[in-house]
Amino acid sequence: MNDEPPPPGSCERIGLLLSLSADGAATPSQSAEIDAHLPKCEACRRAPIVDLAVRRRLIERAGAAMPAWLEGFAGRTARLASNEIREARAQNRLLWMSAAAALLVAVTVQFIAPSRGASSPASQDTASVRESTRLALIRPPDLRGAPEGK
Amino acid sequence: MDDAELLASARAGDPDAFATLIGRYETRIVRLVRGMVPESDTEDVTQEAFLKAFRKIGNFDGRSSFYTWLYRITANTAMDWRKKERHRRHAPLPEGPEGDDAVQSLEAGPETTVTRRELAARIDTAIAALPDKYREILLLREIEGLSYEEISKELGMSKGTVESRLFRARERLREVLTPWMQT
Repeated sequence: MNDEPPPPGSCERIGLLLSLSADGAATPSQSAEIDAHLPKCEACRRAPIVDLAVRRRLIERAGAAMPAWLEGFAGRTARLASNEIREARAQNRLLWMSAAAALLVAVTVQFIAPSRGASSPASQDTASVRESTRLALIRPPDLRGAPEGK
Repeated sequence: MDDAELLASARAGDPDAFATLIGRYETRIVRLVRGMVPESDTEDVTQEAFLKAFRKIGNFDGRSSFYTWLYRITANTAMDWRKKERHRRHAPLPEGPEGDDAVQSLEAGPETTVTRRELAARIDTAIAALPDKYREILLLREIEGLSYEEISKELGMSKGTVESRLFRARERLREVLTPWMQT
């Protein structure tokens, strides 16, 4: 089913006009079109009965007593929302602090720790990696041996 | 305090201002949620919508009324809930307090005597089975009493689309309910 307008003269067209009429939005000529069609079409005559029953039911449901949980609901929900946001902020703060601490540890390990224990195998490895990185940075890459077109 | 003042305080994180603000509209919102999800889930869906509203309140630009903005968040929350439930149950949702009874009574033949309660359950089920785009407009028209112009403004669509969708919603309901209303 789509939102295209129904063909003129069809029951579908009268259905649309009845829908407009139910909302008081049918023009006089549309009302006349309905009046001309209804006496000869039983199916269309039933449509307003269904529309009315649906309307009554929806109004009945909407007008039903408000649920008991609604008492103080706005206040409870607002406090819940506020706590939720406070917790999220606290978690964010914790995350930032953890990240800062991790960065501090990394900087300490990188620049301070190697100078203290230069003789250990691990620090020798670190020193060797650092030296090769330094050489790679100052020496231009040797491209002469590289195959052409690659 | 008017809505604008309450909004400013709520944006600054004042939960009391937010409570007062949503307290003004909670009855209307609950009526709409009741039309979209079963009664048993109304509280959860409404609360989820209000929590989302509080989280997003900084994004409210004031181009629409606060109620319209809150309504859109609520409608989207209810639609998301329906999608999740449909996926979870692999079946159309029952509606209203009669729930499963309503589904069973639809399977019965037209010869069954239709009591007022049964008819109400059938109408609830038929409304629940409508696609969201049709149900939403029907509820705005029948429960909120909005005119076509107001609905088109609220949902950001043409008046012609509102007329057409309202008709399609009613057409589907007529198809399903007419056999039960011949007596």
